[in-house]
Amino acid sequence: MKVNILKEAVKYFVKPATVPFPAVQPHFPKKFRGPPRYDPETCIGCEACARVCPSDAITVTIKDGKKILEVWFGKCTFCARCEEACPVGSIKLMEIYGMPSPNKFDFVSRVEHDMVKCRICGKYFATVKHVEWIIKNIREKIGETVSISELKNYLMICPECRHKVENIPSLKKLLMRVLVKEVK
Amino acid sequence: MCGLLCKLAAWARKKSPWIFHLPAGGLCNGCDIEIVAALTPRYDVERFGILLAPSPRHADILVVAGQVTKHTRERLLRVYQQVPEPKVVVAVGSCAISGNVFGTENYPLAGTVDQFIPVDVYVPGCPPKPEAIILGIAEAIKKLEEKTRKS
Repeated sequence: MKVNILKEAVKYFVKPATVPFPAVQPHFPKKFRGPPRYDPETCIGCEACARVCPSDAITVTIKDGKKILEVWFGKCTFCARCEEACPVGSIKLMEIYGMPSPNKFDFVSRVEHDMVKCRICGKYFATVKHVEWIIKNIREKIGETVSISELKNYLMICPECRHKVENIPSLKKLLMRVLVKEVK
Repeated sequence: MCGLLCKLAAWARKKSPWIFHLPAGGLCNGCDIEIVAALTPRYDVERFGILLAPSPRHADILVVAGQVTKHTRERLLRVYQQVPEPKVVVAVGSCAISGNVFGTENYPLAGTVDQFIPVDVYVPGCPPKPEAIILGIAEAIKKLEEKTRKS
């Protein structure tokens, strides 16, 4: 313990304590949390990050069949809850420090997604990548018992239509098959 | 006579800008601690001529951290008026930019810094690293030069 302190004290007689600036390799401590950035390749647009954000730095806008997720790290607390919540590990807190700018809306990372229409009411409700991701996960769990087209038929219905009484009988058949397989 | 003196003043202002640090109230003091960290031997801003001034009347750059509360609003405006022309304002941290987790509709808060005084440079971060603060002040020096040339 005391040896460590002595080492630290003697270190500054050998080389200066002041770090060069601008630094060639800036020093970041372990688990440093910098500005969050989206990876547009892997993001599926599920809004999990927007739901957990404590300071509402992540906003979701749905416009003309496009979903835009935008993180403004001028409002961010750098708590990394979005990184924890992301099911595919797309949003990451980078090991950089925020660059100062005269415009406060420069501090933005955004990602854009195409959306799918509801089969019954024609309303936009989820992104294409999100539906594909759910199909992939279901297929992994229950195997090949249900075909992709049948699953897509079910998943292309928005939550409101899914809970309407007149639509239930046709959907029940498929749901029962999936659930029975799960119980076994 | 003024021509030579003004040139000298402009040169001195560019080479050694004095900053005044003002915590505007609604903040956790994390940004203040990072500004103080920028003055320590590790980051040592005095090698660039940047000096912490004890009074706003001596300062060229006003560094504001945190959101403006109803109590500090008048003080902020008074301090801003006391800084002599040309002056530059640097907003440090997420709270000064947008309000962060405190929001904008909280009962003791009056609003963000740019609603009351014109801000020239924003430094993002919660809190920003001392490197980012030094870079922000470097950007402010460029703005100061532009303003000096105009006047």
